[in-house]
Amino acid sequence: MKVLNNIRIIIFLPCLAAVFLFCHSVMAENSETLQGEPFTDPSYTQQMPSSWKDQPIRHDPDVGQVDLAVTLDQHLYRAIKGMIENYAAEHGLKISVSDGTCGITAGKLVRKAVDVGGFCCPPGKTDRLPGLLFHTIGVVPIVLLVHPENPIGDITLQEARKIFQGEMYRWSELKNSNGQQGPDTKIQPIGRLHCKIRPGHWRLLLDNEDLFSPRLQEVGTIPDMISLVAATPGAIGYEVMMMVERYRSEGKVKALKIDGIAPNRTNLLSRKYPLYRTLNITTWQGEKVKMQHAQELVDFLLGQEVRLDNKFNIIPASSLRQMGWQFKGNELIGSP
Amino acid sequence: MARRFLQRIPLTVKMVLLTVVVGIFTGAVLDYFQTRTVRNIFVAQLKENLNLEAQEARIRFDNYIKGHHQSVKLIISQKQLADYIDRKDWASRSEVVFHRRSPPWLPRPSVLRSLVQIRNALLLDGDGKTREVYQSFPEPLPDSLLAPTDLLQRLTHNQAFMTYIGGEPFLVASESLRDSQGKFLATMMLVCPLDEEFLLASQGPHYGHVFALVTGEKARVLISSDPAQIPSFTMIDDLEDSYLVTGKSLFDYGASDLVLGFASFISLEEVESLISTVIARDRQQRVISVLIFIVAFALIMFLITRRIERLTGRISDFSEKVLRGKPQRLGLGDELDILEDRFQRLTEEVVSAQEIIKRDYFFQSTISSILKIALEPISLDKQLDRILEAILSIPFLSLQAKGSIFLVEDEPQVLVMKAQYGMSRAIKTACAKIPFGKCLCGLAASTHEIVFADHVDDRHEITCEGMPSHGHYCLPILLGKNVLGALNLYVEEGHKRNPDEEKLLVSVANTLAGVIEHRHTEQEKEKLQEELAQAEKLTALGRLTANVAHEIRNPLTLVGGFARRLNKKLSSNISEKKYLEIIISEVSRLEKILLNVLTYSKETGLKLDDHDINAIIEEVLQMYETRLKEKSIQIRKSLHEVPKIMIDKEQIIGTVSNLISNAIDFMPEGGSLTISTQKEIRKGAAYLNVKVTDTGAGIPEDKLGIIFEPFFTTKFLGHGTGLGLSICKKTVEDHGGFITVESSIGRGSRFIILLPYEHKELRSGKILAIQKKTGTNN
Repeated sequence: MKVLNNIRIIIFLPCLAAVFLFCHSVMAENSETLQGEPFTDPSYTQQMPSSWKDQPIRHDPDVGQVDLAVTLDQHLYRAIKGMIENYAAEHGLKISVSDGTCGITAGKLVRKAVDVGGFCCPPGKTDRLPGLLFHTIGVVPIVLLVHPENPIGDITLQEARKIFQGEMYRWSELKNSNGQQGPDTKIQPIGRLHCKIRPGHWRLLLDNEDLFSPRLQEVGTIPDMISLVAATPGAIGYEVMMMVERYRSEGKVKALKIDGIAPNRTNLLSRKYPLYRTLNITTWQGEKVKMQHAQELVDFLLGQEVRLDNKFNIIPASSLRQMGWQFKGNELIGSP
Repeated sequence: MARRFLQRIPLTVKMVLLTVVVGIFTGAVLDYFQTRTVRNIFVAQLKENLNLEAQEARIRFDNYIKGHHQSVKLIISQKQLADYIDRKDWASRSEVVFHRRSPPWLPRPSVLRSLVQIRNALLLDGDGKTREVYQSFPEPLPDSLLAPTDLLQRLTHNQAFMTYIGGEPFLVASESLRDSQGKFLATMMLVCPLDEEFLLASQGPHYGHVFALVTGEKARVLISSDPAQIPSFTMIDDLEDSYLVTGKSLFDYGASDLVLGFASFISLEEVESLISTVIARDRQQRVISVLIFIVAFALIMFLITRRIERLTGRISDFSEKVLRGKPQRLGLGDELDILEDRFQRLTEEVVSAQEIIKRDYFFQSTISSILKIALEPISLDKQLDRILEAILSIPFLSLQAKGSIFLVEDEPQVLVMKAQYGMSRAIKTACAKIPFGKCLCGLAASTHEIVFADHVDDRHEITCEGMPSHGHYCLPILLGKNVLGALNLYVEEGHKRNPDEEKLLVSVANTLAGVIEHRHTEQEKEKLQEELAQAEKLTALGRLTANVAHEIRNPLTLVGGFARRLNKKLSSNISEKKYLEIIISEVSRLEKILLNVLTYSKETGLKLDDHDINAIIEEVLQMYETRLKEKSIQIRKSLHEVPKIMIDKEQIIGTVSNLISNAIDFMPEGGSLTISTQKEIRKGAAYLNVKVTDTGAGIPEDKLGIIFEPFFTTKFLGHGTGLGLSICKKTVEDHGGFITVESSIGRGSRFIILLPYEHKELRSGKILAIQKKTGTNN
């Protein structure tokens, strides 16, 4: 009998190990499959007609006569507009700074209507226009947001992915790190699936829109995201903290930890925190498009990273370099 | 005039008028501000609502955009399309094929209707060349769309991308079909111009407001849902004069290279109309509220007015009943004016009452002082001095510190100054005695009236040189109709005669009369006490007399005895015998006097025994038979059978004898003497009643009370000692009986003796007690 038991154990343990390894590999595979690419190949260049290449920078008529036309996405617009205006004042330059989105910036760059563009995402392939250089200002954590009365304060990345995939339905299926169970409320995932052609951002959570649950409630704007999460007890969404602060009037929301890691700069810098947004600005390189003022402005901005206000929660590029994040030139192309 | 008129209007009417005027004014002011506030609130609320609507519209627009992307993904995934591509050979044809009907590579029309409205669907081959186009409505397409660049294909891939194509805004969404090796087989591209039709399709048919896509650094209309009202390229700033513009939010699309925003417009005219409707309704409600308020206020004022009237009435009642105020006519003015007036008068009445109470207090205090002084053991003159000072110190009387008190003394009709204060020596001398009728004080005494002078006039008969001007109050001090004196007080010249002062001074004068009378009574009492002391002295003298009589009785008896013996031995022819008889006669008289004195002054012992009172009477009558006949006095006896009585026979004989002797003395011209005896029960006790009645001159009524007093006599000097009746009374009382007298002038007198005869033991006990007291024994 004892011998029989030993035989059973001898058979059972290897089987258990095999099952574990299988599951782990599947999960790892799943995790890699679910997460999109954080960056595009920096060596890729979008093909453009030669006429386009010969085309000089022509500012839009709305901008007027300026030394530099700058279009920034809404994150960078809030973070560095003041610095640009100070720079302009100090150097006696007339610089137009307009608010926009990655798409608007990309559109103006395609039309060669601006000297400097700002993105809140790593460049997509279509953004890698001939002669266009990307300079990373920094990265900022993307925070998972829930209703302020939701007792859950901590979930795993895997749980977050399952939630957005629609594989977890109720908050009661989740537990806090202290063992407290969530309420018996339906989970309502909310997504803003912007910049689908660009890597990084929400695609670090799930690569593409088809991985998201059909129950996903899509919103088009950041205020919609904040107000909807604040108004829906079972909601879960995502956004960077600087935008949560900016749209505080839309409602109160609560940030979640992921795997027990708070979404702060230290945790992101060490890459313990998984979700982030990359903030880039561009300059032109080429005979007909190079603008000395633009290069000097970008150099200035890259040198001013220490002045990035803490409230924007931006980790400057220099810190990223120190922590082993990969750069090509000034462009961030990989995490440690 | 206007003020009087206003005063006469009732308070309720006045307050209603005031409320209406203030209400209209306040209403107008509030209407101005409230209208502005309502307008602002309304506009803000409208804006907020429109913002929400605009937000919802933008979300619908957003979903409509995304719907193109999802639609193209759905279409590209259908097997029908894959089969079509699989069997299609586009290489044989170079031109683009346009379909007016739903082509086989698209879902059936019934399915298409459930998707977004597909305006243009382009089918590109694996090389990215446009091969077939479906248009739901014939409209020209830019050449660059029919030959899309690689960038456009990439930008539109996997997302709905908004961009300018050929200078017009378009929405382009594409999705590719690949083979198993990943080679592009075909690309489906949905193309929709961003125009009015697109906007309306995005919102559905029921969106009521004009809305538009806006673009540019300086916002301008790109497309509007109603180009007739708001044409393209209109600057938003220019529209804000005519429209309420809301929801100018920037789209947050990464999938667009257009700066796009969404705005809703509502005509300000329409807003104004709405506001006017709201304000008119609000104003109507305010007017109703104000009317209700006015009615309620008028009602409240009416009730308050009633309460005020009631309060006024209560004050009047209090004033009349408690403060003894005079009934007052209600004044002119409204209820509050009347209340104020009544309250004012009440205040005055209270102050007046307070003054009266104060005055009464001082008056009572003065009267009390006067009475206190009257009780002090000092002379009347000193009392009057102090009383005068007390009078002059009454604070509320307008008196000078000057005055005097006169009394009528022994000399009738003459006032004698007994007390004065502050008067000059000359006046004191001149006014020391004033006859009735002279000067002011004499006038007061003679007329029994107060004499007032506000200056020195003709009535002021007594004057002196350098006398300062002044006035007077002169009051008679009266006790009934008797003038006891006069009170003379000085006042300032020109002082007005004051009835209250006079009333008070009369009270003082009356009190003074009482004090003086009291003093007189005291003096009389003192006099009586002196008389009593004198009487006591007489009693002592009586005892002394008795002692003296007792001491001289024995020598007198010896003198009498020897004189009688000598008289018997001397012959009658001796001339000196006549002197001896005189001696004997005078000695006998002296013995008789001494006997009476001793009988009265000494407690003689009773020798009691049972005796017949009738027999004793008969025996006494025999003794006086001769005298009775000499005086022609007729004897009448009415002696009833009575029991024997225990008495001291000798003393009772003496008593009866004394009464008969007095009766004889009172009937010098004769008369009738009646003696009767009988039994009598008085207060449960049995007595023998012995009556001795004469028909003499009678005893005056005022003397009846004192006839039993010792040494009282009506007889001529030498004919009586004045002790007879006193001894009778003493004897009867020693026997436990009573003696009384009834008399009538001219008709005679009756003496009644009552001697107790039953309750022998008791009577014996009493008599024994007397014997013990007097030291005698039977």
